[in-house]
Amino acid sequence: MTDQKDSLITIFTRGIIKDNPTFRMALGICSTLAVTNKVANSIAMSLGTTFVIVCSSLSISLMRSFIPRRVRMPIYTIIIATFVVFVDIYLKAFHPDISKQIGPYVGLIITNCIIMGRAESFASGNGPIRAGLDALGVGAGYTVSLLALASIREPLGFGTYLGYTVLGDWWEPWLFMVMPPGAFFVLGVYIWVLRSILPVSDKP
Amino acid sequence: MKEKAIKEKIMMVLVLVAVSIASSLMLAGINDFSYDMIKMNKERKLKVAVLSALEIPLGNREPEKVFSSSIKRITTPEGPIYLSTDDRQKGVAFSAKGSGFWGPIIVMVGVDPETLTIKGVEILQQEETPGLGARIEEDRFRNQFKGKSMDTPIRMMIKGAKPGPNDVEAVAGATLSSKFMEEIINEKSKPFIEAVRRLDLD
Repeated sequence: MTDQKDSLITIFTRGIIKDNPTFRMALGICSTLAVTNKVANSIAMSLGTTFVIVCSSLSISLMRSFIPRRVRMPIYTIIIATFVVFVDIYLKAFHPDISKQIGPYVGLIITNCIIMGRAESFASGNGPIRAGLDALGVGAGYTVSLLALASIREPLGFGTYLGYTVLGDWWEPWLFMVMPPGAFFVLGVYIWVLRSILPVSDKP
Repeated sequence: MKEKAIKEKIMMVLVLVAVSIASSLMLAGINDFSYDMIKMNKERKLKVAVLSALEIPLGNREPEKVFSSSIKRITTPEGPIYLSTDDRQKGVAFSAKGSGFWGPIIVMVGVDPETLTIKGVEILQQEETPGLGARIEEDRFRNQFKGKSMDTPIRMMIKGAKPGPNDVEAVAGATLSSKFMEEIINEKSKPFIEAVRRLDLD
């Protein structure tokens, strides 16, 4: 995966479909289940998470030769947490409405394993340009999967899309889609479809 | 060999300390920079909530200006009470706080001081589950309280149940959040209602 021969384009695009963090690697499921019942919340969460992945991957990549191996985990955590708090404060100051909506989940970006995963498996062994592109690709992949889930859950669960009514009064909202189990169901279908179209090779 | 091991350990501590200090400095700076802004946002939110709970229309005016021209803040032992000075829009508002599902819920309640019916309910703070309990913020749920009497308990009914005149339809899938709202509106508001009655006697 950290093959130096990979082109920059491959590094960026593989995070979107081939190595999609949610649909292919089943990482970051916690936040995925939590926020995808509304499209607007999913967009805000994806932007926040992508920002944190890119910033932390860049910083870790730049610092990679100074970080002693044995304390790399606490250092990654501090770096990631710093950017997460930054996002939280930024939203509170400039976008209080979004902060109100997804406030409790912003803090949880810290625990999103995608970020730690990119730091450990890619950023710690690659230069800043490659690490940044990789982070951007994975962030885009996370965004795509959140939107894919929310685009099914919000209409079925609330009868709306981005808050606008798309299904009329005749539609009886599925409470199931609003709750986390509904996300598991939709996520399962997506993983199944994607694996059927693009089989995962078990070769190393 | 030993020297190398000690060097490595010192390096570990040094890097950790350096990263922590850099992180703290950065966050302290950001906090300093945004502190006033966040405070202003909070104050504005409170003012907007008071005006909205008292059904005072904003139009295109700045909420700060409308607030200072039409609201009087009274301090009571129970907490601040906001009194509308506009004779056409008589009303008092107070914020009642209670526990929620994940964290406290603070509700701004506006009532008519004479009939003690609710004029409006605004959520000032809540940490309920997004998409479920957080829907207590939605107009559809909050508007149901308008016109309900504070004299008799307001009860939450699940969808489909036959509601009485003072009942409110609960948020579907958020029984607990709805119950917490019920407690805040009925129980936590009581001392404020007493305070409002006292004010009228004066």
